[in-house]
Amino acid sequence: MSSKKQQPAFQGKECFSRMNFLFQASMLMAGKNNALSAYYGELCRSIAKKAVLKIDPNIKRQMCKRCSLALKPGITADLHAETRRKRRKSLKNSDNVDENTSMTLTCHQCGFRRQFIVNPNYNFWLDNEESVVESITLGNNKPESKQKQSLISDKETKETTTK
Amino acid sequence: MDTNIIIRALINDMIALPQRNDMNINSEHITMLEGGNTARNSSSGRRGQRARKSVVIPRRQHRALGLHTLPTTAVSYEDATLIHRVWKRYVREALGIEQGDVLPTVDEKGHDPICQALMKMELHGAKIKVLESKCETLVGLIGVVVLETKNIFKIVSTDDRLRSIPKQDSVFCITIGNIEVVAYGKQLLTRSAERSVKKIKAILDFSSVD
Ligand SMILES: [Zn+2]
Repeated sequence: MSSKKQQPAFQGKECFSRMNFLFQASMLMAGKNNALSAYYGELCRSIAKKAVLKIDPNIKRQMCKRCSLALKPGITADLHAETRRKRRKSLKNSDNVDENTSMTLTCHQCGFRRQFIVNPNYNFWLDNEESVVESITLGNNKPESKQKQSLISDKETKETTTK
Repeated sequence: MDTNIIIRALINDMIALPQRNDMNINSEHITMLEGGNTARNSSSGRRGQRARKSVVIPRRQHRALGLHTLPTTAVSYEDATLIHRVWKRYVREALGIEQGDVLPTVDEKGHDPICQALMKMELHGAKIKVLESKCETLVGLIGVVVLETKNIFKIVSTDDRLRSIPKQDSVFCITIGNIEVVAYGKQLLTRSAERSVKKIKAILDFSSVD
């Protein structure tokens, strides 16, 4: 990676902004036209696949893994919180969220369920500060460009900090 | 159940006479390989377990969900304008232009990179106009692209109808604010997911309107 002085190298910039747009369009259409929303979601994912770019897990979890529909709890998806029965008996009166609680997200279109385990002790790798090698701030002063930043957090290449 | 009786008779026959009375055959213990209808077979099914859904949708189900096609009246123009509004912001970001900017012409400096960017641009949500087409009836149509395949644009016009326009043999005019980009459909013959990866030789012609 040769870094030019004025323009910091930002690989796959147009792909990222394209995916960003498609995700926004998909979110916009969710509930209004689910087929279209799923189509845009699918396209967003296939661009990521073609260009070998990673989608941020937070974004990825907002799309159905099966049909790529943008999941908005209450509109295109159901969100349940469940606690496993066995352990529940011992903690009968506690409403605490612990590692036994799980959230289930069910897609309305294809019925795919995805389970997320709620564990306060678990840290994601991407939330870890060590995972961020390089952060690129785009020259524009627009707030939209910030959202894209969340899409990129690669843990490779040299450590270069550019402003 | 009569197979059970047959089996019981068969076992009875094989046991020596004096021991027969001591035998008791539990029908639950009889397993048959095929065509069996014993109590055991029917009770131990896979009914209890719910089959886990595969991540891949089978094509048949894909069709049943209606993901293959969009009906002619599925998308309203209002929804299309919503997408178009997001698209406008996207284009300004992708091309790095502000509202009211004018694109450089062929002999000016920044022409080539912007051509490249235009070719790799997302066209879903773009407002296009058909300037020329082999099919006379398509000429002059204006609409927002909601779906793009390798050979076809599907646009929604103000009458809420979805129209398919073949890219081949058509010339389109893409409007970005005050800028009009003329694109030849022949150059756009790629699947939209592949466009950002594919290398293209751009032949574009754009003019800005005051
Ligand atoms: Zn789904």
